[in-house]
Amino acid sequence: MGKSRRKQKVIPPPQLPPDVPEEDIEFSDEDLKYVEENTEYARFVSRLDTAAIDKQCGGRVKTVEDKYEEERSKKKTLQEEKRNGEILVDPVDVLPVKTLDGKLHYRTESKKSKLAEAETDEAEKDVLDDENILNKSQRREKAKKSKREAKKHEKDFPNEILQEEETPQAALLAEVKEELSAAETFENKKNKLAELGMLLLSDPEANIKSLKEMLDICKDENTKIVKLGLLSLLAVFKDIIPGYRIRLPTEKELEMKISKEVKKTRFYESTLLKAYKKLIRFEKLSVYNQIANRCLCTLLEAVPHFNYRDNLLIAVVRNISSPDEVVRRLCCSTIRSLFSNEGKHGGELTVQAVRLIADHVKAHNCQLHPNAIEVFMSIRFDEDIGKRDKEDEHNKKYKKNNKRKAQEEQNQVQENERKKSKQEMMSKIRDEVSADYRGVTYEPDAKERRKMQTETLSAVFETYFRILRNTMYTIGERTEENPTSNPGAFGSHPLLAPCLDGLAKFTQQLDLDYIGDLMNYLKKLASSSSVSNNTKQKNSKLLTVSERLRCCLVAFKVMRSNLNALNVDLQDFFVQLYNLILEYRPGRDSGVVLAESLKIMLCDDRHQDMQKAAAFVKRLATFALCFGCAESMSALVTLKTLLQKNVKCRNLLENDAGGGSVSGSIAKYQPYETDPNLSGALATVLWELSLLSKHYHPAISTMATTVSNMNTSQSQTFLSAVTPQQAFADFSLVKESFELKNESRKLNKRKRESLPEEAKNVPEIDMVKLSKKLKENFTILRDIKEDERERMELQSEKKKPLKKQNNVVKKKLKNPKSKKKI
Amino acid sequence: MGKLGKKARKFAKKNLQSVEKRSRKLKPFIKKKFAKRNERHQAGDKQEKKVEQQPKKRCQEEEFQDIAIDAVFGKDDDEVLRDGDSDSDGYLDELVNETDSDIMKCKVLSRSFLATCCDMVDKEQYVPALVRLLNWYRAACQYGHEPSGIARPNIYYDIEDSETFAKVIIFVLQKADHTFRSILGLSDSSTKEKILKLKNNPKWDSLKPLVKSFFRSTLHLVKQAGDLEIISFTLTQLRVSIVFLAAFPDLLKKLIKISVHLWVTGEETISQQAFLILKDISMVFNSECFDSCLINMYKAFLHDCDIPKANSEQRPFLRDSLVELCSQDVQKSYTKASVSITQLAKLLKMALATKNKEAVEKIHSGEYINCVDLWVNFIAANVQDCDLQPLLYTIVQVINGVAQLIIGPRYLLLRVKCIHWLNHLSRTSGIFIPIASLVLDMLEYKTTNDGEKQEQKLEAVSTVKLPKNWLKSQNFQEQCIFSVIELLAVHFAQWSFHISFPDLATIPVMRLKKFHERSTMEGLKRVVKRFIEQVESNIEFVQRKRDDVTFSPNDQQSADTFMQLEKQNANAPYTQYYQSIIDKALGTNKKKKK
Repeated sequence: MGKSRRKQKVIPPPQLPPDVPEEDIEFSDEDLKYVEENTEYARFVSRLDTAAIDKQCGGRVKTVEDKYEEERSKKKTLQEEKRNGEILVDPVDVLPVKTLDGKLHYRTESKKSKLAEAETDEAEKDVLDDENILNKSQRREKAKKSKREAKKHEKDFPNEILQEEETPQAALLAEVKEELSAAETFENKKNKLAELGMLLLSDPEANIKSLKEMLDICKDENTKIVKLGLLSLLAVFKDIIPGYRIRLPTEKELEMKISKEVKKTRFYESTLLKAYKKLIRFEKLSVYNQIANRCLCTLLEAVPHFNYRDNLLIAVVRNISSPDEVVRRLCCSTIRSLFSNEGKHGGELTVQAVRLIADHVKAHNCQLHPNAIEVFMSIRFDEDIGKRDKEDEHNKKYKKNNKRKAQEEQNQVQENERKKSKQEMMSKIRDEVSADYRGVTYEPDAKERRKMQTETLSAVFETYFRILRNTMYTIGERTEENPTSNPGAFGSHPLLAPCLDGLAKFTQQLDLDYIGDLMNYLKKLASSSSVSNNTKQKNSKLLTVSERLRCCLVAFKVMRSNLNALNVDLQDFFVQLYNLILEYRPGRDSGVVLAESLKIMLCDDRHQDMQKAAAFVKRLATFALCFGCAESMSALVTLKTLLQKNVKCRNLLENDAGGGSVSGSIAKYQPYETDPNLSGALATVLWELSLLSKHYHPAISTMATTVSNMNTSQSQTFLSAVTPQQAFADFSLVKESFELKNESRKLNKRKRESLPEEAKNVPEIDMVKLSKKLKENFTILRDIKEDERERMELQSEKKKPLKKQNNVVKKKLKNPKSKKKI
Repeated sequence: MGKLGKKARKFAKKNLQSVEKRSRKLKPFIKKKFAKRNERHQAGDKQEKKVEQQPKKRCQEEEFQDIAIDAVFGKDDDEVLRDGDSDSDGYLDELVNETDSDIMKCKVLSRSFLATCCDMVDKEQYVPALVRLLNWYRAACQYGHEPSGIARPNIYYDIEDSETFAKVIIFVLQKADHTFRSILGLSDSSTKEKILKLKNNPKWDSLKPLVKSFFRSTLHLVKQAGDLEIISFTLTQLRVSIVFLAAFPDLLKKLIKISVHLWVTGEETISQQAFLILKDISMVFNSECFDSCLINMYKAFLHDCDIPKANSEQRPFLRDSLVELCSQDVQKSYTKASVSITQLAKLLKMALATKNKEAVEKIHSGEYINCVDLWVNFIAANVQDCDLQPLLYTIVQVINGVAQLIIGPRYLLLRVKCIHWLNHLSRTSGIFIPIASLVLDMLEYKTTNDGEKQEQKLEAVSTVKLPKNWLKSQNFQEQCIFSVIELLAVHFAQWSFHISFPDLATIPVMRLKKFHERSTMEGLKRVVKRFIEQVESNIEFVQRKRDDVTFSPNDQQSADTFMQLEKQNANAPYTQYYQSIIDKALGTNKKKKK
């Protein structure tokens, strides 16, 4: 494959001009004149290398391989020359030099490494030619290599200079040589890998045996080499794996006589397959975990149709919840891409992967990383599978009928018969071709696809339900006080959040029969109060407020998406929400979820019980008094929407003595009641708005004023465009711009008269004490001064006889003094 | 002699100026601070522009490290102290000329001679005598600090004994101002303008060098003196003649510099005196001086916050005095405050967005906290008189952000501080700032294991973050609950007569009840229960009154007048209860400080 591509890329030399005998060429006078006048211009003609031109134009088209061979031979000769030159230097008269990392370098080493360099240089040049084929990893590898070499260069040059005149130390030589040879073999192996890889890429069929060699290198003890080898193999396989699945010949087939070509192909295929199998086995060695995983993921993603894909998939799914972040990410993204690019494998892998993940979840008792389940979100369920085909069929039939009718009408015409038969034949052929095509490609037909999709769905929902059940179980377990079960490494309910998200997304695909169960689960989960009488137990197993809110949310979404067709009582969820609002703690719980539940459960709900709506209105207003502006704002937005929808609730805005006619059976508002229907909120007045209009946040205070001015009689049908979520996001502190409106404002301030209290600020100073202190101060200063002067004099007396140069003494004397001053 | 010298040196080391001086020099920031001031003088009105431009530039840079809280007011060059350094020379020459012109050449000041001189000056305002006196005064001020080695014999003044030394200083400090004024024929309360008009006065020409000499010597004395009382006396006397400095802008700058330094580092009285000087300067002179004072004080204050030191009790004084200064000219301070608060907000935003360690640490630094504290107090002091709404709003958001930046028991003290600020702002401005959720979260800070009953005192803690082992102590939980009750009491006391009070208290009461149910500590339970009872009686009272009114929530005016009468009386048991809690908290705080 690679070869053919490469061959095409070779640019043929420009076509020769048509052969014209030299006699036939006629020069015009002008031409001659021009040449005569500008003889210098024509000088190049004499210098033309005719041989080269002949070779280029006359000879066969040269491929890159030829060039490569040429280069190689050239290099070889060059190397040999070098070797000869270096032998001249006596290797004995060299002293080893110890580098910083403790390695001893000898003159000999520098030579050898030079040799190695030459080789690598060569290899590199070769590789460079094929750069566009190589994948990134190899390129990186190469970059590493060159860097290392550059370092060596730097090291070697100064060494050489130093070593010139040193004497030998033979004792260490052997040891050093060993080390050297290790380094050398490493280099050699690397080069070998690169070479083999190049060969394979350039002509896989001819060089398929190199795969074995590469695999052998991968069995090396040196982990670095193995890693490099694996990556090279990955690059090679990615490129040379054919677009079909290899089926090894049966024994019968082997016995049959076959042409050379087929034999060659068979050999090629079997070798390829064996090598591939071996490569996959590398994953089991834990040392190469990351690299091996990279290989597996890349291969699965690139060639999901190829043999052993099941093994690959199993390996990838096994690592989907790996504690190693890199591996986990890689695996998850691979699975995701499998889900989103079903065309590559016809959807079969999706089913398998989902199945495997489901089993994985089961095996680990739902203690996995959330990412493991999040991948389900990438699955696409196509509801129209088959529908379109059916329609097509239907149309066809219809058309055929039409045609038949028409044809019957025109049956009189004789020629039509022939045409018809011709048409029939053509359609027959077309059918055959399409059948063949289907056989060749993996495109499964609609029926099969639908089947697979059902299977996928059932596996997905099985997983989801398992998680829900597991969560319920752990909560139940806590009440029995089972201290042995401790939360796993991923938190108490790691999979619940993605599970709820998934349920919300795929709820339309869920069978109606299960919805009842689902709602029951959700109800139980939502009502699992985290406030229990059991305070001593660390209730980490309990659901958080966010999770419970999410349960309510999912329940509502499920109902919504099924067009409220089900007769399920959502009352319990409202009760939960009514109480969860109070459990909410900013910072600990997600305000976004709260805002979303306000939106879905309150704003979007069409017909609400008046009592309940009033209870929520009151609670939200109270809530707004105690929390930050983001929460307050989303509560107020919801409150406004509720009031707009429920005309009668607007009675809360008016202080109607005694609650008026609307107040329900409960005459007085019970703020501590847990059931919204029993709170008697209709009997109260929204006094909160009065305080909220004094809120420091201008937006909230205006909002409160607007709400309090809503009219009771007039039915305001327009709804505010802002959703609670939007309000929450806009007013959260993270989004706060903190921009000060810096308009120049006049600040009129009463000038305060200078206060009389200033007088008392003057401390009373005891003059006697003060003068005493001053005196002390003076005495001390004078003492210091005189002391110093005395010393100076002493010093100068001492120094005078020693040194006659007065200037110097003076200078020296100044110094100590000034130091003391400082 | 040698013996005496040793003793003297020992003493000097203990309490004298050289030591003080060295310790001052060890605080390098002071130098830096003062060094920066020079440019401002030259920049003149560019200053304002700079202040406004800088934050804009900073907006674009996202590197939060670049945002320094104190770098707000422009960066200054190190083009320092040029005049300050040179003046010792220049002014010496000046004096030499004067003395040369003088007929009497007396090198050693004797007691009798001083007495006659003083007499002449005091009674007749005899100018040559005053000149002499000022020279002696200068010599006294510089005594022991003369640039050594260059003692030129003809201008070398010596002082006979300690008494003369004390007398000359005290006399000049006490009488100089009066003498100058009487020579010039000025009253004691003459303004700056009058001093500037003096330029036309022929007497001024002869007197100007004398006044200048007086100021220079005095400033030198203030700078060099190590004794508390000498400095404070000098400062007090200097304050009277500040008006004269209008003629010497350089000296004025120098005085500002010295005063700011003394204000930040000095003892209580010195700090107060220094502040009074600064305040006088900023009141008497033009707005440029006000800016200069404000900025220098602001920077020095913030730098001081970073230095952990024993006498942190002085910080409230520093803050209050700075607020007092700011309140002198709210218009000007407003721009400064808005720049500074924007800077604070930017830092916070960065920290909220990234939550990385460095950014969070910056928020939790003493500098940041004290800066917020400063502006909160400034706003609280002036919000009733001026419209500071934008500042108020932003600072409240910033405080909310700081409180929510990192949630956890270890930041209890910071959170308590934040809520204190919010309560303070709410009380002074009369606007509503919800704090309940911030407070109530502290109820759930329970890390106490029942078995452990360590007693640890929270008093010594001044850091933002509490050490981990504290969280386990019983004391910590008590502290939590007491703080909750105290903060709620302040909050409720403010709104206890508001018509919305019952609703405001609903959620806190529910939460407290829940806590009461769950808690196992009897002592705390009792406190909480009492609080709940009081609040409930308050709720009931307001509810009863509320049921009688006829207006609706949209009638804001009526709502505002609701129960105003009762509020005036404040005899309700719950009001007294709130007050007692607040007082108690104040008392414990004071105790802690002592």
